[in-house]
Amino acid sequence: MSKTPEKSGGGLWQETWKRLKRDQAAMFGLVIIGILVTVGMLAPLFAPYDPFQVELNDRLIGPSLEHWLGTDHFGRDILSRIIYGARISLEVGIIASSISLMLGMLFGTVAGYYGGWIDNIIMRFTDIMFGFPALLFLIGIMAAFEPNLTTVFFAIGFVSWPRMARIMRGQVLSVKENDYVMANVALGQRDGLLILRHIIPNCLAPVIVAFTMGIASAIMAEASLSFLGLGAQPPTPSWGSMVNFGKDYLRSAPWLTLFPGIAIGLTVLGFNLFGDGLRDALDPTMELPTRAE
Amino acid sequence: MLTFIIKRTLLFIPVVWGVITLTFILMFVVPGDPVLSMVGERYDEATVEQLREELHLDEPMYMQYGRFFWNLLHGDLGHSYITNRPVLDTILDKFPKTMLLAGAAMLVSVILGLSVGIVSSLKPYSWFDKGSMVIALGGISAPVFWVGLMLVLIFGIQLRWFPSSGYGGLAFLVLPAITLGTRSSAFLARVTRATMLEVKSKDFMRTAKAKGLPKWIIILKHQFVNTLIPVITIIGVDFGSYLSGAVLTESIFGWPGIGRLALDSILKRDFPMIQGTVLVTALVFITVNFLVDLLYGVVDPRIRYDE
Repeated sequence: MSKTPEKSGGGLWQETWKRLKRDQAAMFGLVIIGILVTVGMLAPLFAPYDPFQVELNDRLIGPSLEHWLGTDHFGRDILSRIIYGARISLEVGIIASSISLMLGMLFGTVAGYYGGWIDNIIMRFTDIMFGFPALLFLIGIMAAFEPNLTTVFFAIGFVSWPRMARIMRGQVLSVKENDYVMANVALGQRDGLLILRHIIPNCLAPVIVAFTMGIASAIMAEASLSFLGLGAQPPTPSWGSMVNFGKDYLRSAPWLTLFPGIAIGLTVLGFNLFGDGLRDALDPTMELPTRAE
Repeated sequence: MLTFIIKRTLLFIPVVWGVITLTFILMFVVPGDPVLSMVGERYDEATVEQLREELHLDEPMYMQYGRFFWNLLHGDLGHSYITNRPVLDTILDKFPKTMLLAGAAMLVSVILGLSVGIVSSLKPYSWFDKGSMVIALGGISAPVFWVGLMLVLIFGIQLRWFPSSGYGGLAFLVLPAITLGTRSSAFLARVTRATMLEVKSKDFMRTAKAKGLPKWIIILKHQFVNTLIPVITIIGVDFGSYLSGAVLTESIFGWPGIGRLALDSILKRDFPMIQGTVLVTALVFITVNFLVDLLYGVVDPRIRYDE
């Protein structure tokens, strides 16, 4: 999204950005995302300590000047672990949501463009996928495979693509009816080129909103899995698993639980606010999920 | 109406079949031998072979699938690898407890969500409206498990108002129900507010006002009743989030329901139990959605004529 307006009026993206800039909540979300990305990418610069460094003499120290957010049961600095954890959350969010985006766009486009029995099969399959409560489905997949972050990426991507496919299919169905598509069909344009050049680019707006919201859901899903011990494994500083290990010290050292949870909440809030704003800015009448699952 | 119900039922049946099949496939593709996880580290080949035969794991996939389906039709979900108790018995024992929790959470969510949403919509952009919508956003974004732990910390450990964990009387239900209901009530508050405002601009609202009806009748009989349709659907669709959230909530509060059962079975690699819990939960979920679908058609005739 570039800031420079293209002549007067500008394209869809310039218009969107103009509207988005006026939306305070969306801008607040963008600021949270910006901080998260900066801190995550430059984690070694921001983290005051090594997030894996065990200091048994410094166990369970409360928030103080040396350790702003305190230390955990191994004497590791919580702030540093949260900063490194931002990387993991971002990775999970972006990779899992991208997997879902690719699968969803592929199946959604095929279903919407070709229709008929192939559409029927794909859509009935998404119905079945929707039959499973998301987290339980994820838990089932994680049970079948080795719990680690790579499995988490794929599991979340696999569980969440049907939503994307439905949105994409709906878009393709409406875009397909446009005159310029008909014209290209009449000109004998091959399906592949037609889809890539004319259909997909005109379907992107809601897909991008769903992608942003999907990042929030993926981050939440990873946190939940890691909280249950089925996601990132120790000593990985995933926020969810920090809360998981912190809960045993809830009585004596609540900061172990408090801060990573706030980090998850703020991050999810950031993506939700930005996604909400993006939806309103792109098209106020667009019907899309308004939250992360 | 009858055609509507028949059509929906015809769409429902393949989904049930698909859910059963997908659950079977999920457990079939599990890498590693389930028998090995049953016998543990020290085993002899003969025992393993015998077990494999007893469990019909030596049969080809289609035969196992056929047996799975046949047994399922007879209410047989197999036996637990760990306790050897029928899976269905354990599930039937745990499920009502999860339903109790989900029901209580739904109550919290509907009471809190509807009332906040309605009050917010009466004076949009007031301080109450802005404040409660910010809190609602926080409620939607906060992780369920963290909300639960914070409630334990404040009301269980610090204030000692409610027990922090366990299963028993009403007092044990309070914190888990609030934990599980928070997200949903926050969402419901936002949707209720938005729908109330949308309905407010409709023509029939102006007519009602022009007729000189008292304000509270307009709000209750015209605005609120028309808000109910989307709200009912959301309550139904949200049922899935209760089942998902139950895993997290039950593990925090030591609530002996289906969510904890699923989690325990996974940690013990008790495959028939995992399969059973996932399957039963999914079946309950799609059935609830199916019923909501029908209910929606009953409440709003436009839907059944559109089809």
